[in-house]
Amino acid sequence: MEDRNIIVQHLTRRFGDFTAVDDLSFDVGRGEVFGFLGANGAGKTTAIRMLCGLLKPTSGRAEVAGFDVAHKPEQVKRRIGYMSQKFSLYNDLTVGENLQLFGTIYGLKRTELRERMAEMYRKLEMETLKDQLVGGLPPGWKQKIALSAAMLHRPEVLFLDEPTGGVDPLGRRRFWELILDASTEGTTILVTTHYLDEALYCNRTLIMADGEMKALDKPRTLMREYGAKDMDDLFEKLTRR
Amino acid sequence: MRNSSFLSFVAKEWRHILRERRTLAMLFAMPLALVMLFGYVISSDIDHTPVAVLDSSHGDPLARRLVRKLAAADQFRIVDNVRREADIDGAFKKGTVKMVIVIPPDFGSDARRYGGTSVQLVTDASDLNVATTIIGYASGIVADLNSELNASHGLTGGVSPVRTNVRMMYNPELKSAYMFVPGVIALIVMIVAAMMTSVTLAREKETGTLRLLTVSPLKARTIVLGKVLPYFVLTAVNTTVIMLLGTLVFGMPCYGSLWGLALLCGLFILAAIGLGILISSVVKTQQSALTSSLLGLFLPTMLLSGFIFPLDNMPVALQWACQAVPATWFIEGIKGLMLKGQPVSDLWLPLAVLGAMAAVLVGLALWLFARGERPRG
Amino acid sequence: MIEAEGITKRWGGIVALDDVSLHVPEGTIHGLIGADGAGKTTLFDILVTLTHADRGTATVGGYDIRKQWKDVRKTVGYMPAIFSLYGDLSVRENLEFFAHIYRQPVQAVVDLVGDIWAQIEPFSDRPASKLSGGMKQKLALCCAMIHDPQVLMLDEPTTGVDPTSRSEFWAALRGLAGKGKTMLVSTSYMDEAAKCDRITLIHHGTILDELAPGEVGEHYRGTLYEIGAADTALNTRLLHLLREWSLSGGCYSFGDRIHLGMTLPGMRSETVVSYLRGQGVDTSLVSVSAVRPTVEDLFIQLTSGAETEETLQADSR
Repeated sequence: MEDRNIIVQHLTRRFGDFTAVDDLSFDVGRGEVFGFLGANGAGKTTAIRMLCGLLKPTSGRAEVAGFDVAHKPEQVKRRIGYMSQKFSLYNDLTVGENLQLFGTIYGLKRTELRERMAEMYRKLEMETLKDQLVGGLPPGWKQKIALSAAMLHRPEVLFLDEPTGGVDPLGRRRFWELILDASTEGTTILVTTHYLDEALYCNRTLIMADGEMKALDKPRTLMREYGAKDMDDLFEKLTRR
Repeated sequence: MRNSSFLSFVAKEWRHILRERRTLAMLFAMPLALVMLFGYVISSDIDHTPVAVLDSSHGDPLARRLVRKLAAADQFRIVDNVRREADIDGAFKKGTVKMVIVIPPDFGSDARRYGGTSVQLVTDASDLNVATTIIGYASGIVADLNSELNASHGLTGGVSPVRTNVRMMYNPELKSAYMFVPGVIALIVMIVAAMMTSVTLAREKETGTLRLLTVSPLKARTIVLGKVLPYFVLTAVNTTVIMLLGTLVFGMPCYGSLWGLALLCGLFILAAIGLGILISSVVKTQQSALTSSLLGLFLPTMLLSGFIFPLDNMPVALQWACQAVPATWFIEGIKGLMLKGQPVSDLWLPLAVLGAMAAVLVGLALWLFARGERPRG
Repeated sequence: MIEAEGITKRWGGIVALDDVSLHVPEGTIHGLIGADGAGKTTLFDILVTLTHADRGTATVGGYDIRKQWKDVRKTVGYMPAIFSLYGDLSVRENLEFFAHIYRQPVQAVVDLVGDIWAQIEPFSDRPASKLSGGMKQKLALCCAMIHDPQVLMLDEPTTGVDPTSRSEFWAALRGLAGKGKTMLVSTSYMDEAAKCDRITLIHHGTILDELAPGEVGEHYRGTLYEIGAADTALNTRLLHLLREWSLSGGCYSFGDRIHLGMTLPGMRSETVVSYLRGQGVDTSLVSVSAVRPTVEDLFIQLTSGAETEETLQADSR
């Protein structure tokens, strides 16, 4: 079995004259937590959209979960999970209805879905919440349920786009423990965040600016290498021109 | 400059309207779609329509001159099967004649006198579209004759030696395909004025800009009136376009006073905008503004205004409900003015009711917004 | 400049704010730090006079929020939590619109916040919706500053904004404080606490603590240890072991490290090491050191306490 779950080679995307992603190359191993950092407009979102098979690269190639994103986007989509702070769940459906919906979208069989939902409730200790409307839950819970929904179909690769915005520190920590659990079970995780301290949860981080890769390594190695006192300092050093 | 914040607000509203290209295009495409629709419903195929002349002047030269002019027009074919007044009914019923032109005795001599004379144009109004169209042509020919007469006597316009006098048979209420037009105008006014106003205000709520406006020195009435003015103008332009299409392309008649018509439309648009603002004061999102306008305004305008279902056939309770729908009064007023040619004074009731509705609704909207300006409990 | 005492607000049956007090002196930046749903926005609504409090009193710039709400509104520049400008209007049109409704010359804002305006001026013809998150917030700040308010109330101005733009934005705020403006700024980014003169930690509508960022060490109960493990697997194992430890006063992962709070007196890092050795851990692969707690550590300590109380209350019902 291939131990690299994401392979990116010279990936480039242009919109007219504007190069959003410029010659990006990296690999992500199975079960790795991979941080993707960059200012707004640095090209993170464009890169993720290409990796999810939503946008065709202008040149270069990328393989996710063993399939080429440009030629087999359907195969890719079936094997990935996606969660973002902005759109994740339907507020006017209950927790159970949301999970059921996402499970069905990914083609889970009824018995399979029921088992996985039961398991999810046990693991997150949210048995009592399953009939509550998502809209009325605190942000920390919403995030956890959204993550559950994105993982119901046991994706090989999980894309998390700023998953912890607005969640309290304790909630963020619990959320990260869930992410780390998933990675120990072999799920590959690619995560973007605006909380730079969260980059320390990642095995490796890639820092992007102006569509280009500025650095890629273990966060502490990068901090040493650039003589940064913390992640904020590192980010500033790498993205300021 | 005292009004600068009001003007600035209106300018901002115009920018929103002009930049939302798709909506703007739709607003003006709607009347065009209407033209297409009515193009199918109303076929104004007027060619060699059989008309008869009942000449009681017995060969007066001026009467002969009029008949020659009628016969020369492509639209008419003079038939000779109406000899007496009693023949008219039978000829109409058999459908062999569409219009009878009744020329009175002493036609020529009366025309030369002060006060002149008149011809009666009797039509079968069961096909009102054809009837109004041919009346239009016949009136044109009479007008032509008048200007010839005036010219030969060295008179300039203004005096009409021969007037026309229209009599519609078999359809005293003048029901026709044109009856759709007032209803459609009512619907479009509701979409443009009420729905758009409520949606733009709901958008200010949704995006939070209303909070900024509330804490700013801008008065609540400036916000409300700043919304009313641009949408009033937009709806008025739209209504005018529809009216012009109706009259110019389809020959929809407009017998009544244009000022009365403008007043009627203005009051109805104001009432609609008032309703739109009221809706926006209770909803929180654009989505619910849209749904509420659709259910709360659109459906009553369509179903409870006499547009689709005649009011007379409704149960009494529903008839009462209909009285509360502004469109009911608007449609009644438009029919009276455009189709029946009633004088404005006859339509005081619809005008007064619409005026009261507009005043109450806009007043209520102003009051609600002024209240919303204060800190909430 | 901002004095609030005992503010309480209920929405239906839910207590949004419970006995909240604030004191912000002139020319200072006060941070209101808490997660989404902590009641920050409700407090802003009350202080900018959009909403009445159920109980409590407050003055802003010396004006009573209940009796002199019109004067309060003139004193305050307000930036709501969501981007609240007209997306279809250009940068310049937005600024001009707000200048007009405040009856101010557009030039006024250039004089007041010239340095911030200079950063967005190159985009002045671009529709506001097409700006980046950081640029949007700078524009919103300019619009809030247009009438030269004495007090600025900024509700989550940096949420969703990238780290670089966030630090630029905070630099701009510091500049305004230097000109004597008073600011109440809410944020869910704990690291931004360091940029404030004083901070209030708020959670579920109640105030957890009020302090200067430099005082975190004194407010933190006990000692905080940072524990580093050689690899992720060991890290996970340590986390489980330390959570089961009876002497542990709260333990959670902090990036690739573990933070362990020890509230009992007389503890040293050797105590932790010997516990782990006793559990069969090769402690040569583990580093343990006492560290200065951050605002985040304090927040976690205060909220996990609150949570225990909540659980106790729920159990006793």
